[in-house]
Amino acid sequence: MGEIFDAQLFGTAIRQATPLILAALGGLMSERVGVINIGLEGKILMGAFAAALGALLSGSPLVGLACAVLVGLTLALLHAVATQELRTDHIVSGVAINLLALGLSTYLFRQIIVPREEAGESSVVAMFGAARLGGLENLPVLNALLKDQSWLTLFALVLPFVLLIMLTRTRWGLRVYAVGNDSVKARMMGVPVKRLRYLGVLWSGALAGMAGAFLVLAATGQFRENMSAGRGFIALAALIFGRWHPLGAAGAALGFGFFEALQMRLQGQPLFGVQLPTDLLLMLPYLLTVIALMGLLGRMKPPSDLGN
Amino acid sequence: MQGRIRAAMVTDVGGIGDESFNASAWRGLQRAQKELNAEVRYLESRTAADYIRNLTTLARQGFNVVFAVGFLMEDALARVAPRFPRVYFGIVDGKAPNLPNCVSLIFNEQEGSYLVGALAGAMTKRNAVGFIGGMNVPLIKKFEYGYRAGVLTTNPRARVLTGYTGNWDDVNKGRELALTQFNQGADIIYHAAGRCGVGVIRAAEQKGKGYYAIGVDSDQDHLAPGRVLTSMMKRVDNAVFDVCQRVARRQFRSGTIVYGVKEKGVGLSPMRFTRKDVPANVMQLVRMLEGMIAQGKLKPPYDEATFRQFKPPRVPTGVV
Repeated sequence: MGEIFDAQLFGTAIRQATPLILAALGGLMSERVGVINIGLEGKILMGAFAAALGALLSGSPLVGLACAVLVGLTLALLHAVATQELRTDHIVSGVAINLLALGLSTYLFRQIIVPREEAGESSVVAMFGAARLGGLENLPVLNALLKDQSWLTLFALVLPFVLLIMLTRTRWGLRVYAVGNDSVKARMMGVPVKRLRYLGVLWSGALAGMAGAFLVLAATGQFRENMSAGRGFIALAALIFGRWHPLGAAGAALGFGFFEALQMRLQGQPLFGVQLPTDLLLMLPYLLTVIALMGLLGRMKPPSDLGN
Repeated sequence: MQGRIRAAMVTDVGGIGDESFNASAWRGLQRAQKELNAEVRYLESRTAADYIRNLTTLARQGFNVVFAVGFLMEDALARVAPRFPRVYFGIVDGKAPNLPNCVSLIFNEQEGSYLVGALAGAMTKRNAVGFIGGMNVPLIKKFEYGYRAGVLTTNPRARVLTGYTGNWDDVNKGRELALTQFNQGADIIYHAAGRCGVGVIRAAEQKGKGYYAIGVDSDQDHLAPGRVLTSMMKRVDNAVFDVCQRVARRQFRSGTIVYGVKEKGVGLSPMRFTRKDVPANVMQLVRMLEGMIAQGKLKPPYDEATFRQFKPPRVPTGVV
């Protein structure tokens, strides 16, 4: 077993989990104020494209990250206007954003980046390096886990705690709770419902855009069509299984990342002398995440005013 | 059909940018545009539900020849082709309906994969190589077992790690799976995983000297110069162009056309960046095996059953 659980396994697990945590927390901020957000997938994808283009043209991963966040915010604003001003169904608006993002990122990729590649130029961008942990590097376990991870990953690991404090210990957090559970009463009590909803949706855009940026700027270094590959939906599942709780959502994302890393490992090496079938292993992360969370978390309860 | 022909294709869900057979088929049509002055067009399928509609649309628009790219379109083609007897249809990687206006273009991917496997087996320094596929389907098994047989031929003691990503899009999953296999001891990884393969190549590049990826379908050597040992080229472009040419010359032939090593339908890339890394005797050996396949003396396996029965040819000692 020692050959299976090593630093590389945990490194892969945390890298696989990072974009899921960011996107799931984005979805959480939106759904906590009552706005369903299935457009995470599209925001991740457009974020990845914007990150690649920004970093490619500027030579700086920071510019790429800024572009990703901006594009994520723009798509989120679209969702906010559609659902809050035009009263569009939340699901319909989310689906529209996913379709728009897939079409637009593919089109722009083929118009801008593919011709450069065909002309023999590299489309690999400058990436974020490994974050330095300072004094923490002396702690054996932590160092093994976080060695060679980018600071985007560290940010994703700290963020759930920050959001938890913000949601439970601040005035704003209580107002979010009120808006998410009974927006009518909240409005009567003088809570600026619409402003809080815009803010929550914008959070989702920024964080999902950042998740896309991670894929390019801290992992692959390149954009490819549809490279978000369903992460937005897995993040949404993590959010639901994590019961709209920041630590629950992040924990579900980490669990998924861990089982994903484990199944990759087990495809190439037998477990107790048995080589498990590929298809079973590919299913493992989904299956085990569901089982683990059913056992751990019991009943799930969304914000009661979700979708109104 | 006076003067220029009109040729079109329907991609499967991977689209034109799949860096795989859809992209290659489109290159074939673009060549037909340039060399035969053909009018060309493509339609992309977003879901399997688009196949019939896309094929019908193109047939109605009066294209002379319409290609269905991918085995997933077999059923759709069988429904559409009988309704348009004056349109020629070609299907890549799949079985065409038994009609005079249909041709099926099949590739012996196992032959090309065998050759890259032989090269990988001879080149590995750690006696372990990897294979990464997209979906776990019979088409990709042809790549896997051909490759395994090649490794077995030149390096019977080498381990072959196999992994599947479960999709064709997830670049980062391809990269993480490759990093996992490199960590498990492999130093060369062959992929047949569409866009996930871009991640496999990136992993080899990020690991640096001593690690290689092997590309697939088109010449992917330039994606990370020096870190892509070679690419197993599957010339869907040539096959599509051939059919266009036959249509232009009014020599269309129905049935099945098989493209293997002999027909130069599959084979190694020119290895522009890595030729100097490969010893001359290894290259000679690979060329020898290529000759044996072309002459029909060596038939690489294409699934688990044929792999079990496969007897590797004897390799001159001292080469590996």
